[in-house]
Amino acid sequence: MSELTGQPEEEWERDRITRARAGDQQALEDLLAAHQDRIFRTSLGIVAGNQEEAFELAQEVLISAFRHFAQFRGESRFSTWLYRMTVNFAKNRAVAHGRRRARFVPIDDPRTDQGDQPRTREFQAETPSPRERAAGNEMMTLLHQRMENLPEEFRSVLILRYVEDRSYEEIADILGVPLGTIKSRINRGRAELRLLMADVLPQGGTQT
Amino acid sequence: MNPRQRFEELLSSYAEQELTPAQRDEFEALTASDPLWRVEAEQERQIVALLRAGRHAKAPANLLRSAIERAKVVDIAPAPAVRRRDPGLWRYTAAAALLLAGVVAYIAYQGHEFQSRIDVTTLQRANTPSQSKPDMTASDAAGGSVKVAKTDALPTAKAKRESPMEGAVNASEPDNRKKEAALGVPLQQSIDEKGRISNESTESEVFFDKVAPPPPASAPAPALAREEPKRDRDLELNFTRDAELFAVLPGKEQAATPPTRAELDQVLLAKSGRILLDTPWYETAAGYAVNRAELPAIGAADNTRYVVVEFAGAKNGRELKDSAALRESDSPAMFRQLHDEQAPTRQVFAYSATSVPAGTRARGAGAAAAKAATSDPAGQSAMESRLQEESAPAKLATSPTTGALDDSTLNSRNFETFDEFFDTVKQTGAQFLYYTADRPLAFAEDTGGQAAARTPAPAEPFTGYIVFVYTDTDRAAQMPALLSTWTGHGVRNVRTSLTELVTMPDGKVRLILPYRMD
Repeated sequence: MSELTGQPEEEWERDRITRARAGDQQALEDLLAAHQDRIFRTSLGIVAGNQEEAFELAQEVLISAFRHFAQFRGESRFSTWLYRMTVNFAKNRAVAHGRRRARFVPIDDPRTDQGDQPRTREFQAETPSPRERAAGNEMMTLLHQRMENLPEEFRSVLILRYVEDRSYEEIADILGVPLGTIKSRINRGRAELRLLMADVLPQGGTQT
Repeated sequence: MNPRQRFEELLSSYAEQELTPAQRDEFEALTASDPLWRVEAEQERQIVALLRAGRHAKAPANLLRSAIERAKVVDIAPAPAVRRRDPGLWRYTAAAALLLAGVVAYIAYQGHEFQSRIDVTTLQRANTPSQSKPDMTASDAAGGSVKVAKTDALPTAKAKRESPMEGAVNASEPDNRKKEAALGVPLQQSIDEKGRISNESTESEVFFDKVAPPPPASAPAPALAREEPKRDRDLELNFTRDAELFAVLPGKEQAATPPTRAELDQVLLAKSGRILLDTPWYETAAGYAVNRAELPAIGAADNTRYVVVEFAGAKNGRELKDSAALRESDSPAMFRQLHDEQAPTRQVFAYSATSVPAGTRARGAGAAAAKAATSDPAGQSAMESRLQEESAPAKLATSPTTGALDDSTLNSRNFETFDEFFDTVKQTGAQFLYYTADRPLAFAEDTGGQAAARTPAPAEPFTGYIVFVYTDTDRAAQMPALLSTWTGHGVRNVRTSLTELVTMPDGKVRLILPYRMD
């Protein structure tokens, strides 16, 4: 079982949670196996399509879930708990990564003169190899590349909403922010992403 | 609400697929009224569709198993991300504790001084031999002329203070001023509606009761929560002996004496699998042989090209199992992006294209040199096979007698995928050079784009050019005619009819294929 979607699955999940709480390690492994795809997908989206990063992040989440399952109190859905961990781990990684990046920025990088201004507008179309471009998933590749230029708060909500198909309420629960903020972030994130993708979407730019 | 606002409102519902039939009609009317809005709506739809396409991603097969195995063996160590976060929290906590301790110590010290002054005064005025506690002072002096401790806030004194002592209120004011002067903060008294003094303990006053006397000046400072700097197992930035920042490979304890930049280069390039050991040359992704001595000079000089070397599996202390020279480019923008996006696992080198000696650029030559020079068969075998596989025209479709292209197998080919097309071009003896959006560069970086200037760019907007190189000029000459017969999904983005050939100063011929992304 890789996805949990309906009533029988929920019962199955409750059963596994109960057994896992009683110390049944196999039940816990079953639970995590059922959720690993969504953890990986969310990770993949948040780290902008980098498979290796996504693997590392998803693995961190799974390890943490495995080791700290006792801390899951059942007040929210198990998936919510896992999503929350994924987003938080991703933030931690981004902070650590950002520190390293900051030291790597070359002195001729125009960004060094612009503080922390978003660089989305100056993003130039990357030139992946011909194979990448022509492999049929070039738009996905571009999407991931451009999403890296989205602020993390937008990236997370877009992934949870459109990739994971979570409701606004659940996203608010996962991220711990008000519902209105979630709606606003989704709208702004979409608009921002549209601008980032403007050069590869139909008929050029937008007039927003 | 003006039409634009209404459009934006509906656009959101449109993206969420939540339009009612009436709203849909209204939305369509709005988009029909302005072509730009229609474009926006279509872009919004595509963005959402692209995002939703990510739903099909599956976790790698070994994800859970390896995670569980790691979870079982690393119980003694927290997860890396948590470990990284801790030092920061400790620093903040330690700083806050230090600040708080300083304030407390200052107040306690001042209070101690103040207490001493009160005691001396009380002794003199009341002539009582032992009054070590302020509340005792207050009670003993209550009926006398000295009301020094009236405003003390000790809980044990409260009941006594609440006894009718209305006249003491004014008498206590000068003492309050003394305390205020000593403490630097005002003491509070409150009078209720009946005029009683509640003398609630203020935050400052409580310290007199609860704070231990300050340590003597010579006492050692309490140990702060200062952690030893931890080694980041993922990757460390370190200063080399020659004071250059450099990424250090993970999973290895650093020597007491940091290596020099040159030593690190040697290690990193050797790990990359493409260093030509025992030679000064480095084989780049596109088959250039580059002098290693020139590699560290990352800069933006003219004709600078960037080589990005990726160290796969170089995270979380895993052993470095494989690596590959990822790609190279002439674009500083690409350099920056690649530099930023994967700095921990990538090394970006720059070199001057003009400094590469002529005749050393062909991948085959570089590969042969690598093979001849290698002194690490285990580490180099994978690289060799990859280079050989990529560089050698393994299945040349040529006539065994004439050496000419065998048109019977290559003519009118239909390609399902771009990869198939790409490989077939290589099978004709072509060496893939690079992909570039820079037309002059595609034609010749050596001649400054003169050839490009001579030949006008195609009228269509192109994403860029795929550049192959032929050493066999006759074969190159045959390619445009051959390419024009190729069809299929795999070549839909390649404008084979606009193929151009340019003879380079070294006698090789470049085959330049305009390429346009859908």
